[in-house]
Amino acid sequence: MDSTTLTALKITLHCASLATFLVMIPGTWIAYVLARRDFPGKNILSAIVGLPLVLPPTAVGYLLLQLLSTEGLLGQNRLGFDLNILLTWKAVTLACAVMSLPLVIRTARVAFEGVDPRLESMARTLGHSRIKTFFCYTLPLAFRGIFAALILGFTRALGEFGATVTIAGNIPGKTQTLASAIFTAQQVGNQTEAYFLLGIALIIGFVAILVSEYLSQRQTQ
Amino acid sequence: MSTVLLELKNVKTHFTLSKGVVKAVDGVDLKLRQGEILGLVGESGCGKSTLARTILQLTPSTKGSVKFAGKSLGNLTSKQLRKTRTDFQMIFQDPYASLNPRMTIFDTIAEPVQCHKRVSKQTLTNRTLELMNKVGLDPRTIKKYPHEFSGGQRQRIAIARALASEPKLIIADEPVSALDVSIQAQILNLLSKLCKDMGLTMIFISHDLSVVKHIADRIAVMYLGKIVEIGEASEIFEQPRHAYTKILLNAILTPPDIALSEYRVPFS
Ligand SMILES: Nc1ncnc2c1ncn2[C@@H]1O[C@H](COP(=O)(O)OP(=O)(O)OP(=O)(O)O)[C@@H](O)[C@H]1O
Ligand SMILES: [Mg+2]
Repeated sequence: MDSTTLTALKITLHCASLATFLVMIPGTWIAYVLARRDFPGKNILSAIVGLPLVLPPTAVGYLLLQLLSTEGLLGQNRLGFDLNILLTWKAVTLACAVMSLPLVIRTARVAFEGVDPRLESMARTLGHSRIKTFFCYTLPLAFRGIFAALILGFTRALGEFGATVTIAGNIPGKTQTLASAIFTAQQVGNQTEAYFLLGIALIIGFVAILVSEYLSQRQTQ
Repeated sequence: MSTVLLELKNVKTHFTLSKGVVKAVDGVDLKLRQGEILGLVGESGCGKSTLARTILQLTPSTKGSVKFAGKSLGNLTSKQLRKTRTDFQMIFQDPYASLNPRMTIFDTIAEPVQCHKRVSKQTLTNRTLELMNKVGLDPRTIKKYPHEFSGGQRQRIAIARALASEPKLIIADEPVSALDVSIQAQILNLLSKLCKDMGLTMIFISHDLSVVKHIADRIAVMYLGKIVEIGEASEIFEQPRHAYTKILLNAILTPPDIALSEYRVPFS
C-alpha cells in the first residue's frame, strides 16, 4: 500500500468519525422533536432535513459551495474573515456530516417512535422532570436504535463522494478519500489499487450494516 | 360529609390540529370528595383519557382550573408540580406499555419511593415487599422483569407502583379492559378493596358501564367532551336522565346475541 492510499484511508476514517460526532447531538435532538412534538411546519422541517437524502450529492455540494464561497452567506465578504473550509479536510467533514444527517435523523426518529409515550407519561406522574424523563427513560429505551442510526450515518459518511468532491476536491494526501481514491484509480487505470480499495470499502460497509441490523433487531424485541 | 379533594371548574382542553380544533374536553365541572370512587364512562374518543391527563397536568388545559387539596395546580411552578405529582398517580390500560421493560419489579415499585427522598436499601426492600404483598404478588418474583408476568400480574405491579408514593388520588384509565374477563374481576376487587382499606380517592375510567357499576360510588357520564350526567351509581342505573346514558345502559342490558344479530351480514 503506498502512502497516498494510506492517507486516503486515514482521512476517510478521521472525517467520517468527526462528522458522525458532529451530527450525533443535533441529529438525535431533531429526531426526538420530530417523533414527539407537534408544531406548525413540522412536515416542512421534516422535508428540509430529509432533502440531502433525495438530492444528487453533487447538488448538495454545489449548495454548500455557494454558501461558503467568498460572496456566499458564510463567505469571507459576509463574515469579515475566512472560515477556510473549502478544499481542506474540514470540507470533507462538512460534506460527510450534511449527507449523513438525514439518515441519522430518520433512523433515530423511528427509534424514538418505538418508545411508548405512556412510559414517558408514567415517568412524569412519578415526579420526574421532562429532562430526567428523557435521559432516564426515553434515551435508554431508544439507545440501540440511535446507535444503529449513528453507525448508518458513519457508513454514509465513509462512502460520501459527490458533495465531498465538489467542495473539498480530490487532492491526494489532503482531501482524497477512499471514495475519491477509487474513482481516481479507476480513471487512471490502476486496477490493483482499485481492487484493493474496493476490498477495504466492502469490509467496512459490510461490518457496519451487520452491526446496525443487529442493533435495530434487538430493539424491536 | 368529607372534604373535597379535587375540584374542576369549567375545564377545557382543546387540541389545535391542521384539520381544525378538537375539543377533547369542553367545559367539565367536577367535585370529588375524599375517599370516593368516581366512575367515568363514555364511548371511545369522548375525552376521558384527555380529562385524566389534564387533571394530572400531563396535558395543559386550554381553560378552567384544577384544584387539588385546595391548591390550584395550574399556578404551581414545575418544581412544585413535580413534588405534588406524587399525590396523584395513574394506572394505565395496558400494563405492559406503562412498565419500563428494563426495570425489575423491585426497581419499578421502588422508583416512586426514591424519587423525592433518600431511602436506605433495606427500607426500600421492605416497602416493596409490603406493597407486593398488598396487591397479591409473590415476593419471590421481586427480581423479575415485566415480560415474565401475565397481564393481570403486570397490572398488579402497576397498582403497587401507583400506591408506592402514598398518593391521595388514583386515576385508573381503563385498567382492566386489556385483561381477560376472568382476571378483570380479580383486579376490580383488588382496586376496590385497596381504596376502602387505605381510604383512597379514585377516578375509574371505562367505556363499559357494567365494569364501573361494581366499583364506583358515583358515576359520571361523558359525551363529546362534556359530563352530561353525574349521580350515585344506583341512580344512574335506575333513573338515567340523559338520552346518552340510556343508550349506554341499553348496550349492557341487551343480550349479546341480539346485539350481534343486527350486524350479521346476510349471505347472498
Ligand atoms: N395529543 C392529542 N392531539 C390531538 N388530538 C388528541 C390528542 N389526544 C387526544 N386527542 C383527541 O381527543 C379526543 C378524545 O381522546 P381521548 O383519548 O381523551 O378519548 P377517550 O375517551 O379516552 O377514548 P378511548 O376510550 O378510546 O380511550 C379524540 O378525538 C382524540 O383523537
Ligand atoms: Mg382513553
